[in-house]
Amino acid sequence: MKKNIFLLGACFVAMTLTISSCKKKDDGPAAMTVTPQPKPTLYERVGGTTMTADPNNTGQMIEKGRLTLRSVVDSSINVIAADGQLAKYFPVLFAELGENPKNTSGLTALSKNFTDFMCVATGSKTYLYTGLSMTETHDPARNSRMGMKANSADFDKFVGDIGTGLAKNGVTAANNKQLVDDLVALLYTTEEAIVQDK
Amino acid sequence: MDNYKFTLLYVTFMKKRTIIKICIGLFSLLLISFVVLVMHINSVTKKNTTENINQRQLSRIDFKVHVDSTEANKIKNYVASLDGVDGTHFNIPEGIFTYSYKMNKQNSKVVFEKVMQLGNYDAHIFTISAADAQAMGGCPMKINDHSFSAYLTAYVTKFLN
Repeated sequence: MKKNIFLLGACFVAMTLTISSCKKKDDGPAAMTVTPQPKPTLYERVGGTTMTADPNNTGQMIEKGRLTLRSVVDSSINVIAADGQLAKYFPVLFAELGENPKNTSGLTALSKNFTDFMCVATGSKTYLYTGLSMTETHDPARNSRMGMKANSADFDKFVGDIGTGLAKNGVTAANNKQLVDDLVALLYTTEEAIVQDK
Repeated sequence: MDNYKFTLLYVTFMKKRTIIKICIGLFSLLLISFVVLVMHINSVTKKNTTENINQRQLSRIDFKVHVDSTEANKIKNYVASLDGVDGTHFNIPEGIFTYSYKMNKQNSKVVFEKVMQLGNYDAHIFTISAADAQAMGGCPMKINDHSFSAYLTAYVTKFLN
């Protein structure tokens, strides 16, 4: 008899626990525990880690985020290369050795390094930036490839050219102001290291 | 006394075994970490290598006379349609046209001649001397080839490929 009462009690407790766990929580907003969603990184906002076909390399896949950033970087390099104000910093980007044609521009390396840098800076966990620090890269004394120290006006022009590169890829302040603002803000975090002609 | 000696020996033996176990554990952890690092470097460099199969070049044509936006768009669209060309930009106020292309598919001289056939413009290919190109390299953002990670990456990439 005692055993039966114990079993009955155990069943009651189990049922009570089950029902109470299924009870809809309608105690109002004050009692609700809201877990804040992590804010998506810039990298996620420009495509993230979703794989897609790489238009530049047939049969290869690439993360959408990297593809977007690489497209922006490549477009921006063209814009910067055609910018008379900035051309003085890297004349060899357009070098042509007419009689002995070979790749002297380092365009592939620049595109890769700049894209790596942007991937890491925007929050990608897949890629590595193995280049020099921004300070070293832009110091002619420590990087012979840097023609001269950059000044503030040229840095502003550089950011403007990146904006043109973004627009060439369909992102403008008119259609995605927040993204443009965030990318520009990200670029300006490097200003202190890049602008060394003060 | 013999019992005491035996206990002492046993304790010493057990201590040694514990130390050996800890060492093996630590070594295994280190080995696993190293393998993971090697695999990570391999995956990262592999992705980048595939992007570097086709070497690209940037070329620039300087126009001495003003080119209006209609004409600039005509040139830009024409060059963009050429095989191997993957980027163009025309800075109209400064008369500077740049384009990037895959070297195995296109040639700056050929592109220039084709552009000239469009309108016989007063223009030239932007060039610098070979000596300057040699002295200045080509890429402002360069890899830190003296860092430990650069050495390790280079070694692992060489080993795996």
